[in-house]
Amino acid sequence: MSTTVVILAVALASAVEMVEAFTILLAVATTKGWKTSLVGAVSALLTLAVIVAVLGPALVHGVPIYALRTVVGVITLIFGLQWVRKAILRSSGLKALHDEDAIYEREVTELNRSGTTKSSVDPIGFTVAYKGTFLEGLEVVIIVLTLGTTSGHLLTASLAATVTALFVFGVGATLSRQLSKVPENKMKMGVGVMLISFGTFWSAEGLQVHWPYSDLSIVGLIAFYAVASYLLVLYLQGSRSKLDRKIAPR
Amino acid sequence: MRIVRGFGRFIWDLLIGETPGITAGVATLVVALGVSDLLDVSVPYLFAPLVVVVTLFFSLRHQLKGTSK
Repeated sequence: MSTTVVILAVALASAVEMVEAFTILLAVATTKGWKTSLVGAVSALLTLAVIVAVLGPALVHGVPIYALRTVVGVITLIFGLQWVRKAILRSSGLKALHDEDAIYEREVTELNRSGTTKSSVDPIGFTVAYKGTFLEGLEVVIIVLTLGTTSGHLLTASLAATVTALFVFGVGATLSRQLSKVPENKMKMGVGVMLISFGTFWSAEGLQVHWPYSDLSIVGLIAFYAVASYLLVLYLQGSRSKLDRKIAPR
Repeated sequence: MRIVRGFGRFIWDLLIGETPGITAGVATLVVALGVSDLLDVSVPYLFAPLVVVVTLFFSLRHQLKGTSK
């Protein structure tokens, strides 16, 4: 059961981050050509794969399981809370939704300003594509490493992230436009809730706390945090409309 | 030295960054769980989700207050 949740969490996280990365790659492809964009993206993905291949086994074999669970649980919890917080602020209107169209326009303008080169792979375009894919992918790598090592499914988690990334890039390239219709905030909220559930479970288990029904309590935690997040969105929406009424001129 | 400083900054941004309240809440949780283990509390697993939700609530309320100013 927990394997399915791990795969789902990794796949969703990868999808969210790769939609953002693809927007940058499309901007590079439009201005500097697909070759530059693809070389940049593949180089970044290879760098990320090396990080997982080096750090993953080192974590599994070099750190005792209880210490690993506590440290990984704490990192997952902090990461998840940051994602959920951002998603709640966006859902309640206190923070602007991520706008892929605006990011695309900005990248295209900046890349056009940099001019063209005679080489088949443009160095500026390559840097933008590499940096965009690497930075967005790094969050996925952290999630893959934390969820994968602690659950004992590092290879499955890595495969889930890679397949999702390729799927997002494939869909985006076929449609040849930025994927602004993807419900990114809802997906971010879903991943965040899963991350805080795993983070709570592992950090407590690492500190010798025994959960009732073992792994099954993760499902209970997901349900509890989903309801809590929904209530927090309602609370912020209510507070915001009260605030708007106070500020509005009579 | 620049690489070490850059790495330190990266870790700081990743784990603390704009949300030090969240990190403080999680640190409180770890301490509470450690203490509950020492004191042999009967249902320590109930602490964890409560501390997490309270941490999230205060972090969001802090943001709301910041926005209203």
